Amino acid sequence: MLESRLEQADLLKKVVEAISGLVNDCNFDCNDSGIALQAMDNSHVALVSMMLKAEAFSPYRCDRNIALGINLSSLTKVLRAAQSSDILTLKAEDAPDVVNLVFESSEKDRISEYDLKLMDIDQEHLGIPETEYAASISMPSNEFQRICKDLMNISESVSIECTKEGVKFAAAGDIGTGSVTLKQHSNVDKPEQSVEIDLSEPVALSFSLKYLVNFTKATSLASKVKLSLSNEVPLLVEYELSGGNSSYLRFYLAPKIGDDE
Amino acid sequence: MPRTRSTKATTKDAPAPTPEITTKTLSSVDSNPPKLFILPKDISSEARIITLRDPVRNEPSRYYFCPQKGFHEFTRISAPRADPRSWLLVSENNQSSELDTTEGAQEESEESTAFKKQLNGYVSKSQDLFLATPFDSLFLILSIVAPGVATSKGDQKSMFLTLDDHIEKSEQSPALNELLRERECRKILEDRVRAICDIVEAGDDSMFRLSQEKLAKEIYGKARKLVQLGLPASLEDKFVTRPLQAPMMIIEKAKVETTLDTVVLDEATAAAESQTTLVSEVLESDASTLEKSTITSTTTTFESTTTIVDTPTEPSTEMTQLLRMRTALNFILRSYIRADLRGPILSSISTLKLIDFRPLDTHLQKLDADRASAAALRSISDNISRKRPADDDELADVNAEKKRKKDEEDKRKKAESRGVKDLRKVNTSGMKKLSSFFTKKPASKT
Repeated sequence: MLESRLEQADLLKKVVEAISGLVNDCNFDCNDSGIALQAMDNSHVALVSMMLKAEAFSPYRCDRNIALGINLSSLTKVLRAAQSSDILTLKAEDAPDVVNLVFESSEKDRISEYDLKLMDIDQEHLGIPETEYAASISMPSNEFQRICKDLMNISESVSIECTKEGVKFAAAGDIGTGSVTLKQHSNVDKPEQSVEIDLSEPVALSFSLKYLVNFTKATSLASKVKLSLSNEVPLLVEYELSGGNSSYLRFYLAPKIGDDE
Repeated sequence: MPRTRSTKATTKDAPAPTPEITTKTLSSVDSNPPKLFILPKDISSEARIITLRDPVRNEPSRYYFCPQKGFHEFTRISAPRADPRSWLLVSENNQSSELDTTEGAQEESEESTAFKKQLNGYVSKSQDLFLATPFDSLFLILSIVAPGVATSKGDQKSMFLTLDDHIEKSEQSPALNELLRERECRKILEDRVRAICDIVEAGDDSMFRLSQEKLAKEIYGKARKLVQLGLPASLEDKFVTRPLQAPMMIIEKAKVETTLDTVVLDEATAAAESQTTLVSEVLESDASTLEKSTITSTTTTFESTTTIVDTPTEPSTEMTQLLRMRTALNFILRSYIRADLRGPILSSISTLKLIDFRPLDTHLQKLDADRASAAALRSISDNISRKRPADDDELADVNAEKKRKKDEEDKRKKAESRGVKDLRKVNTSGMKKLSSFFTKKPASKT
C-alpha cells in the first residue's frame, strides 16, 4: 500500500497543474523510491517526466509498485479543495480502485478527505538516457516564461541559438521578427537571477513556442529552469522540485526540423 | 315471504319500491320497448304489419301492407355504434318547445300504446328507427311462382298453375293466403304475377307459369330505372368509380359523413337523398300500383354523401353506364331475389341481348391487368424503398457508432485542459516523435 505525506499540498497542486497542460490522463507510478510520472502529449512530440523522490515526503511508504491511473482534470478538481499550506496525504491500496487524498489544515484542525476514482491507462514508457547535452542554460524560470510569451506574439516557433556569448531566442513571423538575447551573468546576491551557460559546442534549434509556453506553467514550482540542448535531439526543460532532494519536473520537446517555415 | 323476497332480489333496483311500480318499469324498459316507425302517409285503416317470408333468405320477416298502397319493407336505420343515441318521445299534448322538432314530428305520427300511457314522455334506449319503404310485391310473388329450390326445373316449368295453387304449393306463410282473399290485394299481386309469367286463361281462372324472359325483362327494367335515377352515391363510388379507375391514380375517397341527420320528408322528392329512399323509389316507381308520393324517409346514417366522386380521368361513359347497369342488376338480384334464381335471370338477360356486358368485361380485365402490373411495379419500388431504409439502418448503426465515438472524443476533448487543447492546434509537422529519439522501454518499470 501507498501512504505518502506531503508537507505542502502546494507542490502537488502546481505539479499537477503544470502537467495537466500537456496530458489528460497519466499514471503515477509509485515505488519505494518515490512517485514517478511519464507521459507524452497527444502528438507525441513532447514528454513530461516527473520524479517526486521519497525524501520529498514525510513519511513515505510504498510496499509495492502501484500505478495510479489518474485523470488530471479530476485530480485538479480535488486538489482545488486543498489549501496550499495544507498537509496532503496520498493513500492507496495495493490494487487500488481509488486514491485517497487527505488535506489537513494544521491551524484549523480541519481534515478533508477525498477518494478519487482511478482508471486504467495504457501508456508506453520511454527510456530516457542521461545524456550529455551540448549546451545547458540555467536561467530564472520567470525569465524563460517571459521570453516564450513575448515571442509567441511574433511567431509560433522560436529558434534557440546558444553560443559562447549567450543564448538568443529569435522568432520570425508575419508581423516581423523579434529576438531576446541573454548573456551569461551571475548575480551573487540573488543567485536565482543568474544566467549560466554551459556550452561544449554551439547549438541552434527551433521549437514550437506553444509547447514551450505550456511548459512554463511549471514556473512557479522553481525559481530556476534549466534548458539542455543538443543538435538534433529533444530539448530538455527541467524544473527542480523542493530543492535538494533531486525531485524534478522535466519536459522534453522534439525540435522542429527545418522543412517548415 | 322469503321466496318472494328472493325473486324480487333478482330484479332489485330500488331500495324499497312499491311492487306495482317495479313491475311497470321492468316491463316498459326491458321486455318490449316501443319501436319507432316511420310509415307512409295517408295509409288506409286496414294497413297492418304482416309476417311474410323474406324472398332472399326465406326467413319470416315483417312487412307493412296497405291494401291501397301495397307492400312496404322495413329498413332499419341506426346510428353508428360509436355514436350511441336514444330517442326521447313525448306525446303531442305536452310536446314542448324544448324538444327537438324533428323528433317531435316523428313521434306525432307514431305512438305506441305503451307510450300513450306515459304522457310524460319516454326515452327509448334503442336508437333504431324503422322506415317503411315501398316494396315491389313482385319479389314476394317470385318466390311463389318460381320453382322451388329442391324440385327440378323441367318439372315445374311446364306446369301452369293458378295463383292459389302456386301459393299453396309454396312454403309462403299463411298470411299471404289470407291477403289473397282481399280483392285489392289479389289484384295487386295478380298484376305483378302477370308481369313475369306466361298466362293461360282457363275459363275464369288464369293459369300462370314463370317466364324467365319476362322476369329478366322486368328486372332489367328495374335496373335501368335505377341507373337512370342515378345510383346511390355509396354504390356509385364503390362499384362503379373505383373499379373503373385506372391504376396508379390517386383514389379520392368520398368523405363519409357519419352524422345522423334526422330529416323528415313528407314527399320523397330528393332523388339522391338516401340509398334506401332511392332504391325503394325505383322499385316502387316500377310497380304500377304504387305511387311515389308518400314516402317518409329519414336520411340514413351511412354515407349520406353529398358529392359524387369524380375521378380525374373519367373512364368512357359507355363503360360507366355498363358498369352502373351491372351494379344495379346485382344490387337488385342480391337484395331481393333468391340465389338460385339469379343465374337464370342473368343468362336470360344476355340471351335476350338486353344488354351486352362483354366490352365491359374486356375493359375491366384490361384494367385488372394494368393494375396488377402497376402493383408489381409498386411492389418493386416498395421493395427498393424498403431496402433502402434497411441499408440506412446499417448506415445509421455505423453512423451512430461514429457519433458515439465522436461524442466520446468530444467529451474527452472537453475534459481536456486548456493547455492540451491549445497544443492540439500546434503545427507539429516538422517535429519528430519523441519515440524516435528515446527507446521504448519494453515494460513499465512499475
